[in-house]
Amino acid sequence: MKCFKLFLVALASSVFLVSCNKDELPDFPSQGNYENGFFVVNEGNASAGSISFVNSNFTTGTSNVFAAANPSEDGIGGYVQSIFFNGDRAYIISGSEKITVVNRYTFKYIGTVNSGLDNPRYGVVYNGKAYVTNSKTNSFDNPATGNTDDYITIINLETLLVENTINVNAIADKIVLYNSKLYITNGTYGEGNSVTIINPSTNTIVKTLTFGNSPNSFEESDGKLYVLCSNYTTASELVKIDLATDLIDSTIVLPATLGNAQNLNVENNQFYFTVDSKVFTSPISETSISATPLFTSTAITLYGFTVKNSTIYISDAKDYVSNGNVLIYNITGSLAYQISVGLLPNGFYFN
Amino acid sequence: MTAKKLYSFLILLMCQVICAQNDSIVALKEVIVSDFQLKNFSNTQSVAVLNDSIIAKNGASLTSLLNYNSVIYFKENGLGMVSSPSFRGTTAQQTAVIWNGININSQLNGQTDFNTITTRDYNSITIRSGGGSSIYGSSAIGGSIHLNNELTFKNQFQNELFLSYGSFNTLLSNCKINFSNQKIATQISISRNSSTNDYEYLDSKNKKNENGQFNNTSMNVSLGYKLNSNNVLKFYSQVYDSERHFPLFSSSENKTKYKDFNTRNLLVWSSVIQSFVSTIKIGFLSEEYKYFSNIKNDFYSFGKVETALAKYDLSYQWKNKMLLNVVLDYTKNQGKGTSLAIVKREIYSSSINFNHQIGSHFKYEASIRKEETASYKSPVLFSVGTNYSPVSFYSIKFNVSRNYRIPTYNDLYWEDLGNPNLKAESSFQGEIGNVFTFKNWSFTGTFYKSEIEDMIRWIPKEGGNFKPENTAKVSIFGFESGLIWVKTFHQHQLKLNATYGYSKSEDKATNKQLIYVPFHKMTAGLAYSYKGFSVNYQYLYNGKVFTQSDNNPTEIIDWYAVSNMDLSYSLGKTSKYNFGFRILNLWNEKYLSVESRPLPGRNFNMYITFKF
Repeated sequence: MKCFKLFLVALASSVFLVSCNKDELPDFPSQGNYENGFFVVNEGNASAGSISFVNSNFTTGTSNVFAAANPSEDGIGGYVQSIFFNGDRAYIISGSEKITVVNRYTFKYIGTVNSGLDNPRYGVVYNGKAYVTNSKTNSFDNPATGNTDDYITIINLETLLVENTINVNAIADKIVLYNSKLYITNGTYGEGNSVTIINPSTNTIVKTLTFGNSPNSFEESDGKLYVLCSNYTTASELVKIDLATDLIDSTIVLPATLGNAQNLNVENNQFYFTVDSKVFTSPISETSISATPLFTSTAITLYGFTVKNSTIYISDAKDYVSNGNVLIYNITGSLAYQISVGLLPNGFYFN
Repeated sequence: MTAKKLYSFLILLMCQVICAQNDSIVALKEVIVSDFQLKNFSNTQSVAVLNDSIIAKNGASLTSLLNYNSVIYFKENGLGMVSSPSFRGTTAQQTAVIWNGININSQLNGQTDFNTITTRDYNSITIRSGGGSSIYGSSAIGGSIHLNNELTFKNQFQNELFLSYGSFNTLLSNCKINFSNQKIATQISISRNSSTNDYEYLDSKNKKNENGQFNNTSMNVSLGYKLNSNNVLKFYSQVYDSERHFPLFSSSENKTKYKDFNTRNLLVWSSVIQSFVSTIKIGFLSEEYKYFSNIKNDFYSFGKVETALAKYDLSYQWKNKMLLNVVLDYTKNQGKGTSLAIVKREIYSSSINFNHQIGSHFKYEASIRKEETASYKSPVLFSVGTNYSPVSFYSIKFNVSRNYRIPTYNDLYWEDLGNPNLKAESSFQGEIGNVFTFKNWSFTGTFYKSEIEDMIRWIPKEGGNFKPENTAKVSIFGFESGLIWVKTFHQHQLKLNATYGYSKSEDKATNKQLIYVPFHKMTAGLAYSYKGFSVNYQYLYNGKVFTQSDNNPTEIIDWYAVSNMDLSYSLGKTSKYNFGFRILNLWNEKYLSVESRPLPGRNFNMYITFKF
């Protein structure tokens, strides 16, 4: 364990030294070590996950930034799920039924939410409150209500206490805020087939939009919400929702070979999504999707996928019992960088 | 199927040839062993017996007994929690546990949880190192652990009560009743163990083992009845019931618990007809687990398998020099569970075991077994070994065998994910053992090498799903040794018992050590007794293990060394009363065997054994 601490100190100091060298540049006040770059959530195991940081030129990485910044605090928990931000704060959701609050630039510990959560998944902030989805029980151990008992926890971000909950009456997974409304995907592992729209001012369900397949990822772009739906047996679907009316605008059925499509991103007026380790793209104006991949990544197990500006970020969980990799591709699919991170990297969060 | 018929025919043919010559007569003995093959076909491998007096000086679970008395490594998820072995560098599914001759590894996950076996329920526990699949079936690759209830036909009525109480509100109790005469033998053993198990973690700030409480109860009956001088009926029965809460990593987590309920029943009829012993066995086993992902809810996931088995076992002995044994076996399983549809599975197997003593210095053994089932593909299994003893104090043993581990219910039938096309994992392995036996001491040293292929691994697939495949190959090389030294002077007795094992167990694709397999393990026990007084000191050294398959040097469980001490005093001529005091983890070592699952610091218990 001592060796491990030394290792952390060495890593932390390397970042520190790099920032020292920048002293000759014009003197902008630095907000923290982690100001320029992105975090990688490493799910880890049941007892501990970690957050890695990679700076924006992809040259230096820091593993376990939380432990480096807060050596005397308890960890962030196991099976770390996701991060959401509000102002200068980052909220780290873990499968240990807790949310750890840190400064997003220094990663200094601020507080913990450790009640009112039950398998928390994702969160957004509206009007000083966090709305966090909880998947509660699963249908495999609770067939009766496993797919209908999920709920949203509303957390006061001043006190970090739970204020209220909203029953979703369906699966609750990913969540986004648009135009003062919450959109929640009601899908996981191919089960569930809808998106729930909630008014956070009244904490009531406004509407539920039902699809022919199970939503797994979505993104808003230009007043439209694009939802990728798939399961293990039928053809995947891409659904376009008009956010002005909250009605389904159109549905594109993907070629049969693109079953279980995941990880929808919308960037530069293009769709991007993945099937196994293959990456696909198509202009959002198209009404059909090509079955030819843009490229096949070298990931053994493609686990996280984000397209931002003209860069494609892929995380590789490998065999689930080895440290994973982050693979950075340019927009045409050529590999530019490969960075080693922690166990089970599942997503990217940008500062 | 035709191959199977031909094979059965060959067996019959061989029987007839042997029938022609019957010389010596085998008689029923006073002590009847429950595992005939263990006694007769284990002469070319390393076998260590832990008898009832050793069992009495150790913790209640099979984990603690073997952890301190063998080279077998244990991965224990906190004290009393799920515990899986690695024997000779193999995986948890490659050690077989044999209950009175019957393989009891779980049909669901292929392994035995060594914290669900209470050792005081058995007269002896035997560690048989190396391959044994041709006799004991699936999983006997690293070795097999034999839980034996031997029946004694002599006039006795002896009962024993054991009570122990100690730290963390840990209560261990066992009651044994032995009643027998020349015709009937009865053994009853009832055990109940419970603990709040809320020990403090030595490494951090007032953290406790929260939600770690457990309890278990087992009831065992072994009956023997001599119908006449040539026929004996035996019946073994066991019920095991346990509930364990799983400790929290962080107090914000949902509390979980896990229940086991296992039953085992075996009826055996043995007949001695001149030089033949014919044995019919009928068995019924059931295993069931329930996992509650949140104890506030009543929801649980479960798995249950019922097994019915029938065996016919015929052996023929020729002049105490040769022994031929033919076994036909039929097993039927029926399982169901969360994510498992109701699935039936039938397995037929036949095997031949043979040993032959040539002169007084040389012995060889051979076994062959083949299975027929529609559920998976499995190889022809065999074992061939020799034992040569050129001088009285030394013998050298060779053994080569092919062994296997069959796909489990989960591997084959898990909803949407199970792979019905799996083969059995198979190993080809060999060993050379040296045994030195002198007046006061004995030493065994064994080198072994195994090549295991078609390892079944659950490989991550898109969408976070895992599916099992026959993928990896593993190469193992190692050494294990044991030393026993006894010194008696006047009424003082000193006894040293030590083991050391080294195993290099590499995935052939990556050349990395398997996770949770230590290179080194060592145990030592020093016992001193004088009249009724005795002191026992136990020592365990466990080398570091990797927790990630990339052998990342920061992701390890560090080595640890733990010692226990036991002081006891016996009163009365037949040691009618025995009082003892035990200090576990004497030097307060901060250690764990699974990441984030600390094991307790120094703790105490006291006990009394009362014979009546």
